[in-house]
Parts: sequence; structure tokens; C-alpha cells
Amino acid sequence: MQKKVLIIYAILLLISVPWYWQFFPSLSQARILGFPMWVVSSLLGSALVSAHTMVLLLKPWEGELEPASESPEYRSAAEAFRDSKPGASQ
Amino acid sequence: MNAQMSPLTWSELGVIAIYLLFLLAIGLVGWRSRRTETLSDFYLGGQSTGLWVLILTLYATQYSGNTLLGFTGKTYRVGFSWTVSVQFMTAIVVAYLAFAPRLFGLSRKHGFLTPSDYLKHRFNYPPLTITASCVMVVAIGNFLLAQMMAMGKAVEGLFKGNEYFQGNEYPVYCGGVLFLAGIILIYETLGGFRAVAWTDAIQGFVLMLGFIALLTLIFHRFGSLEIAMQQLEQSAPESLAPPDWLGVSQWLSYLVIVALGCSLYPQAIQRIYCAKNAKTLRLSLIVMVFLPLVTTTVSLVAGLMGRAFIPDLSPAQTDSLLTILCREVQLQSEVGRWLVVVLFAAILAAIMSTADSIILSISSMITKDHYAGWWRTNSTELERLQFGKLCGWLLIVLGVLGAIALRDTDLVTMLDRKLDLLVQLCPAFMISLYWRRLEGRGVVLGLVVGIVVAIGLVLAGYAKPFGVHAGLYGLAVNLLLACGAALVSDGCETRHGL
Repeated sequence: MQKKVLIIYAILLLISVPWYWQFFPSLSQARILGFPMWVVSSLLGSALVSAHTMVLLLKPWEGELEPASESPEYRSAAEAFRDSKPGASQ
Repeated sequence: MNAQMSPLTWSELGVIAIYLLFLLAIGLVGWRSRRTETLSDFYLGGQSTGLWVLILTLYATQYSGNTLLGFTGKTYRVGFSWTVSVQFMTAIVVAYLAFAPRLFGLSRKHGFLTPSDYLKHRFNYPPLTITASCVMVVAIGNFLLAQMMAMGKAVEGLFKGNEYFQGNEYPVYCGGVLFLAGIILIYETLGGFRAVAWTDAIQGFVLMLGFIALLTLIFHRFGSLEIAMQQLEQSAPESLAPPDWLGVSQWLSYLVIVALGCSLYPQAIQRIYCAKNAKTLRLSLIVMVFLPLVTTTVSLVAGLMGRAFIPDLSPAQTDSLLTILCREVQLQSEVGRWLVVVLFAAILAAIMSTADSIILSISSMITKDHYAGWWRTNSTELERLQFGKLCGWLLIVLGVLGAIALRDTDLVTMLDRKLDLLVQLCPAFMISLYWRRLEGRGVVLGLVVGIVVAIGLVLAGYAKPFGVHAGLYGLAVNLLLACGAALVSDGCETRHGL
């Protein structure tokens, strides 16, 4: 993975893990939609991790755009060819 | 507190029976859809799994009965600190991102069937291939036994209070294990991976319905989350507090061990292999990465609501929290009763989908890595396929016998150990994809010593020293040995292209 990607994950980890809320006891207990603030920040951090991962997953993977060697038609033809060879299963 | 649900009526039981019969029908369709009598077709569905089936099979496989039953009870015990469960389920997909793109490309190029096929290709070092395969079989074999026991318990719960089965809990438990294992045996033998993936898709859908049912019935019965929080402020303020330093250490430990360990489930790796193409896999992972926010959070809310409104449960009773909540809802209305039926079907779905995937994965590893790998290298494809099916049957029989014999055994501690074991495979599967110098001898040495350290710590009574799982101490030693050996070696081992 690229350095930039790892740095973003590290920042999101710092936000998501509620290590800093023990220093703000009263603020951590403020409520948003019934959840304590520190829980909301953790869930929000988790949502940001999901969003960041989604952005990364939207990009094609290395070799994904290469020719049709992974198409089902190609594979079944290749399988049929392999199976037709004597001793192919050995 | 009465942990027993009011008995399901025959019509409610009938709905669950229809659902189970439907699974058998899917097995039959899977059998009719088979293309060739090959291991690849039987164990990976010809590597042609489409987007929605892949999403739902990944979901149903990753979320076991533990997500519904165990997570709810755990939240009851530890409070909002279990928010970590939402994060570690997300982190599993992040961990996939670290190795799935390269592993998928290699699997497509070289036709991998089992996780060990990659190790064989990468290291060409039989001791590593065999050791890694054995570690995976042991780690998830234990998980299979737990799922079989959970099947029996679930059926026992279904019939509890029924006038015809009063006082016959043990026969009902045994019958439940046999009946559900029999259903898995039939559809898995008929359709192999296709049947498992398609039934997983149905089970994944039912599981999602179950989470919706759970959320609906909780709010319907107890009211808003705000009221529950006010209640908790009075009765259990500690459950609302953020974690202290030890808690933070445990939090990080859970994130790492679950992300690395669960992403290396053999059945999960095989789902990477089985995707129709890279785009399908990418898109299914995109959906997977958002699912914890809408599913695991529901278990969290259920646990907290239970803690607020049913405050007097003993630690042993907390695992029955979901059953207790069901009883509360059943007593409310007819709609509540049917929501409980959906929830029960979801629990069965979660357990069965995990069990069937494990059986298929273990039988594929025993067949390809051991039977065809060194025992009968000259066997034909048909002989391997027959052996694989036989292996699946034997696993089911062993699972049933084990579940019946160990009915009252607490397997939770042993379940934790599966992650301590699986995480030791991290250098072999993840680092080796990026670092060409890593060699088989060092990796197998690290793997064995890492396991010894992890299990040794647990046996010595140090399962989580300083809040960190024993498996991560083992992984540290493992990495040190594997990387150290790579750095000092002269690079004489055969290395294959990545």
C-alpha cells in the first residue's frame, strides 16, 4: 500500500480508538441520538474508515484491466482444453 | 429472570421447517448446475461467483451465530466498550485490502484451490505447506464443533416449553444437531460450493432480516435509546464510560487480532479465489465494509437495552440475553411472535452458513493439501472428488458426535484460541506477497514458535497480558524469526514470482 494510504488509516485509527476521551469525562457523556459522544466519535471514525476503504476499492486492481484471461468463457474453454489432454487430472 | 421463551406454536415451527426445506431445494439446484466433476467446480463453483451471491456468502460466513448471541451478551457485560466490535468487523475488510488484490490475481493465474496452494506456489517448501494447512484445519475444526453445538442449543431453544417435549431437552438437543447436520450434509454433497454459496445467500438475507427484526422488537418493547441511557446512568454508569488505558490496549488488541485472524479464515480466502472477476470481488468488499455499521451496531444496541431494562442477569445468563429479549417481545403481540420466528431463522442461518463453509473448506484442504499433496499424488480428479465428499461426511459425523458428547462444555475459551492460531499465518500469507526475501524455513520456524508462545501463555494463565491477546505476543516472535531468517539467509531457496 502507498504511504499516503497508510497515513490516512493511521489518522483514522487515532480518531476511532477512544483513547483521548478519558481526559474529557463530562464531554464524553454528552448525548447524540442517545449515544454518548465518545461512542459517536468511534462509530463516525469507523464510518470514515469504511469510506476511505471504499475509495480505495473503487480503483481497479493491478492487472485487472488485462485481457480476457479471466472471463468465464475463456476459463471454461481453457478447462475444456486441459481436461481433453490425456492424464490432465494427474 | 425467566430465560425461557414461550413455546413456538406448530405453525411458527412450520415456517422454520419450510425455510430448512428450501435450503435442501437449493442444494438440488446446485447439483443440477454443476459443470464438471472437478475439485475446482465442487469447491470453488468453477470460480464464477457473481456479485450478490459473493456479498451474501461473505457476509453469512463472516457473521456467525456468535455475532447475534455472543456480541449481545458481551455488550451486556462490558457496556459501550464493545463498540470495538463494529470497528474490528470493519477492520477485517481493511485487512483483505492488504492481500486480496495480489492473491486474487495469483489465484486466477495459477488456479489455486486451497489457501495452501498459494504457499506451495510462493515458497515451494512442503513442511510449510503441510504445517500451515494443519494449523488452519485445527483452528477452524474447533469452530465447527462450536457451530454444531450451537445448532443443538438453538433447536433446544425452539422446542423449550413445548408440551410434547417437556423434560426431554437432551434428546431434543441431539435430534437438533443430527437434523440440521443432515440438512447441511445433503445440500453440500449435492451442490458443493454452489449449494453452500447459494444457501449462504439465502441465509445472509435472512440474517439481515433478523437484525432488522431484532432492532424493531427492541425499540417496540423498550422504547428509545435515550430512555435506556438515562436508566443506565442510574443503574450501571460504568457501562457508559470510555475505556481507560488498559481498555484502550484491549481495544487495539481486538482490532489487530480479529482483523488479521478473521481475514485469514481459510473459507474466507477461498471466497477470494471463487469470485467471478476482480471487479466483483472489489464491489462485494465495498458492501462488506459498511455492513458492520448497520449490523454489529444492532447487537450493541440490543445488549445495552438489555442491560438497562433487564439489569439483574448473572454473567452466565448474559449469553441467553437474546432469548430473554425474545420472550419479552413474544408476550407483547402477535407481530412480536412472528418477529421472533424471523430472528430464530436468522440465528439458525448464521450458525448453519458458518458450519457449511467450514466443512467445505476443511474437506478441500484435507483432499488437496494432504490426500493429493503427498498421500496419493497419482490419484485421478474423480478419486479426489470422491475422497473430498467422503471427507465432508466424516467431518459432519465427527462434529455431530463431538457436539453430542460435549453438550455442557464451555468452548468459548477454545474459540478464542482460533484467532491466536490463525494470526500466526500472517507472515506466510500477507508479508510474503510483498517481500520476496521471505523464505519457507524462516516462515515455518516463526509459525511454530509463534504458536508455542501463544498457546504457552494461555496455558500459563496469561491469555491477555496487559490487555493484549497472547496470539499477538506469538506473532511478534513469529515476525522476528521469519524476518530475521530472511535477512540473514543467503537466498538459496527457490522463490517464485509474485
